[in-house]
Amino acid sequence: MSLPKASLIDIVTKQYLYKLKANIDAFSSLIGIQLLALLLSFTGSTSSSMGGGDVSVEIQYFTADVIIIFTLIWSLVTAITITTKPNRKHEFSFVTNRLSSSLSNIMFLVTSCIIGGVTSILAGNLLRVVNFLFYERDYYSLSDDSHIINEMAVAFLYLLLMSSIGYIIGSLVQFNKIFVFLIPAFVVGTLFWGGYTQKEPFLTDVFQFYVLETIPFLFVLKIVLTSGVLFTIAIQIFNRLEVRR
Amino acid sequence: MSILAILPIVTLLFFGCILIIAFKLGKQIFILKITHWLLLAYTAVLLLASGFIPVIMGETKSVERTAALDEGEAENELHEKLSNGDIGEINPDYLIGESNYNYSQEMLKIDSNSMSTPLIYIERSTENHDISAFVYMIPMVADGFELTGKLKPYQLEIEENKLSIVSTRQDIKLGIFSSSFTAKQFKREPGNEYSFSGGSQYLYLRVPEDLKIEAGEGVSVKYLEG
Repeated sequence: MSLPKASLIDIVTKQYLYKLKANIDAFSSLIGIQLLALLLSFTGSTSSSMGGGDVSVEIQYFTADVIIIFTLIWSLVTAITITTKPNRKHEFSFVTNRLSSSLSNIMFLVTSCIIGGVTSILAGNLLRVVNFLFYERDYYSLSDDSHIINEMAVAFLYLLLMSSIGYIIGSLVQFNKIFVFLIPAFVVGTLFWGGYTQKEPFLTDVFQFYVLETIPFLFVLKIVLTSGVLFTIAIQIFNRLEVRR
Repeated sequence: MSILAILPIVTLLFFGCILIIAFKLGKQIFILKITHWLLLAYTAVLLLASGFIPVIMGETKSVERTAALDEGEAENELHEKLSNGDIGEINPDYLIGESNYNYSQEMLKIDSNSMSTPLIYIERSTENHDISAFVYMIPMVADGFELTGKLKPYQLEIEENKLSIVSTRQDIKLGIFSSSFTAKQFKREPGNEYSFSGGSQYLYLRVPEDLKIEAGEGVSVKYLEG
């Protein structure tokens, strides 16, 4: 008598499909958060007013920036949420181990990043349409040669980075609850330390490392490598957890 | 009241109602259906909006940022040329209004309703008995956008022995559709400039030699040296 041998790929695929169904509400919150960002962007993502004498000029810029930033926050929160105990409990109805669980989680997060990246850029189009139809002013488009696919790809990469950060935060918290206090303390502490030493906070340097990168290949490499390393560390942390912890 | 003003309230009410209904019924299957319905509706709205984008882009003008003018230098240069009467040497783009008036009175009173004090350069001419008026302006650049074409020059009205400089209050509101920061990732573009320069108007009058000028309140006059 022989027992059927399940391959890792099959298990991960099944778990991934299950997680897509089980975590469908994550996408409802994505819609909610993007609509909230849209509402906040209706009067312009940024604006400037100036004038003198008999002339006043008010320029409002309409971009998807706020929507993308809100989606980044959503991505971070979703990645943290997926590591929580209630979410992990669902998996015990499957043939599973820590590795297959983490891989299916990462696949779910990558899918959510693709959806988040595409919808956030398309929501920028909705912002333009609503303003153009309902808000009377002279509209101009700032000419540039950017392509929507490039915008979506960059948004996806930023979301992937945020997901990997969220996932490692979630794994650290599951490993030891003390990280609930340590991580915010580290973030706030570096900001205060930067102010105390009169230098740019460490997190600003980290932020600039990605945001100021203008070479596409290096940008992709930085994000993919960082996310890969963070996800790998998170998988290792989950592997060290006791069963059903 | 603009429709946009009530749009956020309507949207919030709409989603609030959906959430209340979902919460009241509290059945997982219903929530799943709502979620799917929401996703489909949202995707449809986003795709529909994206379909409108080429139409909107066709309706809006494309703008490019221009290099900001050194306002101080341009003002000094313009002032020098106006003071010397060398109006032929002034950049023709600075001339935004020109008019000519038949005038036979001995005295001209100049009044203005402008909030800023207009500086008027007066050249006395022996060649004709008309009054020629030229309105100059240093190009107005806001956030790197050239807005000179949007500004109305001073309106000049002569009634009996009075020249009125009529300035209308202008509120220019612009909406700029710009790409998100993700589109600018691979470009070494500076961000929004938030700067403002130019826009001051100068009036140059060529008047008969013997015309007496009386400047009203809030009007500054500079006579050209013969």
